Amino acid sequence: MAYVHVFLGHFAKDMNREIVQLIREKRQIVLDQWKGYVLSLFPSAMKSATPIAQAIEHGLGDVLDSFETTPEKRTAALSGVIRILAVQSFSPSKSMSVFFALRSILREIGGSGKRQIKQKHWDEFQTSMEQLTLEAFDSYMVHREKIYQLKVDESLRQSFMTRRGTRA
Amino acid sequence: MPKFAPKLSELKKEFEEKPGLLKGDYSDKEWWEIPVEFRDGNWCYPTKPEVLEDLKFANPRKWSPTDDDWKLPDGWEKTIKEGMKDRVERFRSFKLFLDTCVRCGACADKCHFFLGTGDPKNMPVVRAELIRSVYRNDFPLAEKILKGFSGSRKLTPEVIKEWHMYFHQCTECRRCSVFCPFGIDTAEITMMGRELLNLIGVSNNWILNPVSNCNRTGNHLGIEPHTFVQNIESLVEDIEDLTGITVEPTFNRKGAEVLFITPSGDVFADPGVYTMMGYLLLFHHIGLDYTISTYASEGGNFGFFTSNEMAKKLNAKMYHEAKRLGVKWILGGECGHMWRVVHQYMDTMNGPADFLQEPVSPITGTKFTNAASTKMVHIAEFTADLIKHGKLKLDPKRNDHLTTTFHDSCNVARGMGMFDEPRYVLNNVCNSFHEMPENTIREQTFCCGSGSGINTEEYMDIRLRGGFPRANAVRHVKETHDVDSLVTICAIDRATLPALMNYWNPGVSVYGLHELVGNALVMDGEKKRTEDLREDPMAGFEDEEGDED
Ligand code: SF4
Ligand code: SF4
Repeated sequence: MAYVHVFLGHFAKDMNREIVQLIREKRQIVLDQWKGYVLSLFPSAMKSATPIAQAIEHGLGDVLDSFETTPEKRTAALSGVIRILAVQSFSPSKSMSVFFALRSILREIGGSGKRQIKQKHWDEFQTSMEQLTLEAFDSYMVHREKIYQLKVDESLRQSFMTRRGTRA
Repeated sequence: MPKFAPKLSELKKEFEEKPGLLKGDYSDKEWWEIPVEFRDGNWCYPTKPEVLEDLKFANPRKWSPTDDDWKLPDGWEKTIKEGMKDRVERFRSFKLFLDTCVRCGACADKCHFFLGTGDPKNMPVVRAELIRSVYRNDFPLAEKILKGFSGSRKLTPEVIKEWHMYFHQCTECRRCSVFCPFGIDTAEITMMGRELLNLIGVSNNWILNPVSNCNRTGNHLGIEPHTFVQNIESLVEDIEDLTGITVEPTFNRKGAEVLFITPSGDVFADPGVYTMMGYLLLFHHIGLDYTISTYASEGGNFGFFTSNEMAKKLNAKMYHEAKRLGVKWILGGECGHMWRVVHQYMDTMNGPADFLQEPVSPITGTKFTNAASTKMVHIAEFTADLIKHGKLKLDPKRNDHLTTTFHDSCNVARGMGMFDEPRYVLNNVCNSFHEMPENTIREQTFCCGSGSGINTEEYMDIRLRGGFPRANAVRHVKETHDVDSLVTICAIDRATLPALMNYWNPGVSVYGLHELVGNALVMDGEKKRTEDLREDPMAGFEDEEGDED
């Protein structure tokens, strides 16, 4: 049951304040590195000024900012990023690695400054990140399902009059 | 130090340096050394053998792009080389485009597929290079002229696979040509690439099945004449329910003044049928003497995505029917590639249509001198002229429930230079039009990502990627102006943008221009309107409260 508790816990409440503070202070550095990681998953010619790259930056920024807000806002922010990742040529695991990357980036940035963040904060943060990754996985599946739904909807629209005829 | 998380450098190693498409092992390779990888979502179903047989096209067989062996016919290399030679001689543009490119790169980042995928082979310059490199290897003279440029290569099955993948990640939209200092049109290279592939039986069912249907019944879906008529009559009933007006289209009526031809999507698909209802209301409103043909029952022309000859054959029915019915001129509905064929090719392919007259609007007397040779007028032009002369009774408030933007369809915008007429009409039938950013509209419009016959469902992933730049521009006006309605004048847009919007911009619906015209038209003797043509309530026209002033 403890396991269930951990994974269904309220993320926003649990998000460690020290880490939130770190993100607030170093937002641009974190964002640049995180965006750099996401773009590295794309074919080599995806440059950072393309509409996709800008949308990714926007979405990742929203996710960082959502750590201080409500679960609903975080879900919406996650969806903005996952929507882009879920239609790319790389694998689902690469898409999910984006969230491991954030953890790594924060630990590297947080571990390097004067202010040392205690291990217990990292541990708490680790749980939050696991929760975030699971949510991201859900969102990824929602978007893949949506793509299948789009296909069905499109077929139905194409046969609109035929189906109407058979109903009559 | 991190306790659970791997270091960023380790992650990079895992995902960047291990072999993968355009990564790691391939990072120091030239583009032509990178193999293509067909996986679900990035290929279309190949043409069924019976469809190829029906069309008498080459190499009918069962195969799949994911197979190692594509079962190319014996001597396929010779077929391709001779096919290329023949086309270089016959089509001056093809030769010119192959020879002229100086690789300045101005086109490189202008393609929506490149912007949406980051795949270097989707840069127009590289796309053309896929053929140019073979051409160079096979045509010594060209090689001589082009000495100093590297990159000629042998024709192998891998090259064919690459052509198949990347000539179907080009929607022949011509955006790249706008930015090329020489006006090189990569769309034409793609057209030639697809023609060559068809010579050896490498093609998509989604393109050739409609071609075969069209060849048989006149329209993409293969609808027989009686069903075609039934569909339209059923829309006539809907119009009567909504407005109280009985519109009276006629079919195959000899001696009508005007023959009306529109893409068949307007007759069978949602939301095209609402655009059809708009046309029918408009024609009734002005008392146009028109008829609809059940044989020229398709404005679209998937032959255009197959070969020059097939485009010509499928297009011929327009003039045949105009002649048989003895009309004076042809009025064409909202379509993209239909207009490219009509505007740029029909006259030379199947003309001269000297049995028709230079189109004159019977309502305003306007001479459409721009259509003097084709004898076919675009409906947006026709309607804009009616509005300009005050011939339509319009209440734009009837579209107040929609906040609109306009998507320029590539073929109408870049293919025939029509930018202002649809905007003029739109501004007269609604109060809420907002332009998308300047570098995404008019001549620089971004494609829907699904044109040129790739609008099939199994290709959805690629379409969503290629359509991203367009969707992103819509997102901009959605966020800044609460736009919820994307208006277009293209049947493929109406078919495919709903999926694109639903994915990238949920809450944005897709409309045909003449659907909004139909909403706004105040018909003589109509009953009180409370709903638009798709039976959505109109704002301010609710039953109880009555009309606002
Ligand atoms: S025609 Fe359009 S899709 Fe094709 S290469 Fe040019 S910009 Fe890209
Ligand atoms: S812009 Fe024209 S000349 Fe320059 S690389 Fe592209 S096709 Fe070649």
